[in-house]
Amino acid sequence: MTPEEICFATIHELGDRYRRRALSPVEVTQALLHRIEKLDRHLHCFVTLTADRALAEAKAAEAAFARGDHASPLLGIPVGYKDIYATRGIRTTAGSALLADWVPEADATCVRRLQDAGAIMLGKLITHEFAMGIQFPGHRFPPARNPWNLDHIPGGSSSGSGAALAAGLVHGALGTDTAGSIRGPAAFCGIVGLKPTYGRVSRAGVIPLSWTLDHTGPMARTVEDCAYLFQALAGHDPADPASARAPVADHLGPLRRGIRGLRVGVPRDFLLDGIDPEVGHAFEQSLVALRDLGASVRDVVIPSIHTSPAFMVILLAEGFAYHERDLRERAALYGDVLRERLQAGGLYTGGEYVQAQRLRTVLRADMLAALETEEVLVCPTAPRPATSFAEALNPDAPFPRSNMGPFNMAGLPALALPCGFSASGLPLSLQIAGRPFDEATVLRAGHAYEQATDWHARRPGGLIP
Amino acid sequence: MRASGLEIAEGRLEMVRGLLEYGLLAVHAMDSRAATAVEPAVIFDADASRTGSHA
Repeated sequence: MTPEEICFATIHELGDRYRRRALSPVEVTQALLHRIEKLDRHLHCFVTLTADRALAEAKAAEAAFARGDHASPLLGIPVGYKDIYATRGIRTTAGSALLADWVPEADATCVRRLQDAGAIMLGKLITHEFAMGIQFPGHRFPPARNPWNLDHIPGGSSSGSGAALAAGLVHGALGTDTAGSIRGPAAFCGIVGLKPTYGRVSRAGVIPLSWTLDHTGPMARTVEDCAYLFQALAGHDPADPASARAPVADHLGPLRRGIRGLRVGVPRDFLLDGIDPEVGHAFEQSLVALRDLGASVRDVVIPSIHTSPAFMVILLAEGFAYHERDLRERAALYGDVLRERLQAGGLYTGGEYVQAQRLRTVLRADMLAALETEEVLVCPTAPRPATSFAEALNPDAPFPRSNMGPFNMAGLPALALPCGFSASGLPLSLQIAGRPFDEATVLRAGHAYEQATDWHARRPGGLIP
Repeated sequence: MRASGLEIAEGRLEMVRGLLEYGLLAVHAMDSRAATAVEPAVIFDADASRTGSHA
C-alpha cells in the first residue's frame, strides 16, 4: 500500500492487514502523522496533536497483534476526538478562549470506550466555539477548511472531524450533534456521520450546548467504519442522566443483508422546499438507486414538520442557561456571534420555551407515526452544498435552514452519507433516519446505497494550493 | 441595549431579532389549546423496543 492508500484505508481493511501482519499500526500512525504535518497547516483540523502518545499506543497495539490478542476491530485504528470531549491530561478547549488552558482529569465516556477498544488517539480536532459559534478572523483558533475546496466551510460544529476524515488525516472521529453538527460536516466534506438515538451514546464528559438536543456519535469515511465505531460507543452509561438502558444490537452482522422490501418514506414537504437544484437532482437519483436495490419508496406526510425550526428556541434557551454565568462575568472571552446568539436565548420567555417543547412532542409523535409504516425516512442532509467562507463569515447571515434539526427534536437516529457532487466539485449528501434504537436498519440502508455507488470512494484532489 | 443583564450592540439588534423570530414563528402560530400533547421531555423508555415505544 502507498502512504496515501494507507491513510484512506477503511477500518476493515486495516484490521485485516494487521491480523495478517501485512501492516503495522505503527506504520499507519507514522503515515498519518506525516500527512498531518504536510497538510494540516492548510486545513487547521487539529487543535492539539498527540503524536508521542499515538506512537506509544500504536506500539502497544502492534504488540497486542503479535501476541494474538486482537479481538477488538478497533485495535490499532487511529482516531481524532472533537475538542469538546474531555481527554484526561490533554487540553480540551471547546474552541473557546474560556477553556484555552483547561486540562481535564478524566476522559469523556466515549473517549474511554474507544481507547478501551484499542483505538489510537492522534489528537483533538477543532470545533466551532462551544459547538455553535463561528471562528471569525482573529479568533484564537483558526477555522478548519474544506478539503474539497479550501475557500469553502467544512460545516460545523464538528468541523475538524469532517475535514480530517475527508483529507485522510484520521480513520475515525467523534462529533457532537445538537442540530446537525455531525451530519452537516459529513455532508459538506463528503464523509459519513451518524447521530444516534437520543440516549444511545453517552454524553458524559462532553461540554453541553443544549441538554435535550445534544447527541454524541461517530464520523468516518464509510458506513461500515461508522458502524464499527458506533458498536464500541453504544450502551448505557450511568454518568449520563439521559442514557438509555435499551440493549445494544449487533450493527455489523446485518449490514450486508441488503434492503429488498425495505419501506422507505420520503417526507417531501418542508425538507425539499427551496433546495438547490443540484441537491434535488442528486436526491432523486438516490431514490432511484434505493428502488433498484429493492426498497419500496413512497412519499409520506409529517403534518407538523413546519414547526421544526422551534428547535432554535430550545437550543438557545438551554445554551443561555448553561453559559449565563460566564456571559455575565467573562463576556469578552466569547466570540461576538456566539455571545449574541446565546444572549438571544436569554430573551425567550419561559412560556415560549415550554411551547417549543410541546411542539417538539407533536413533531416526534408525527414522525413516529410515519415510522409505524415506513422503516426509514430519507431526505437531503443539507439544502445546498458547502457555502464559501466569504458567505459564512457575514455576521448578519441568517441561521441556515436545517433538514437535520427535526431529527434532533425527535431524538431519532439519522445518518448522513455522500450521494453526489455539485458541478463545482462539492459533496452532496443523503440523510437516512429511522426508528428509535434502530440504528441497525439505518446503517444497513446506508451501506446498501453506498455499495451501489462510488461517491464514498472519491478523494479530494489538488488538496493544497 | 441591555437584555438579560447583558449589553447587545445597537447594530446587532436586527440579527438577534431575526434569530428570535426564526425559532418563534411556529411557537406563536401554535394554538396551545389545540395541542393535546403536554409532555415536553424527549426521553425514550429504557426498555424501548425497536417499534418506537417511548415514555
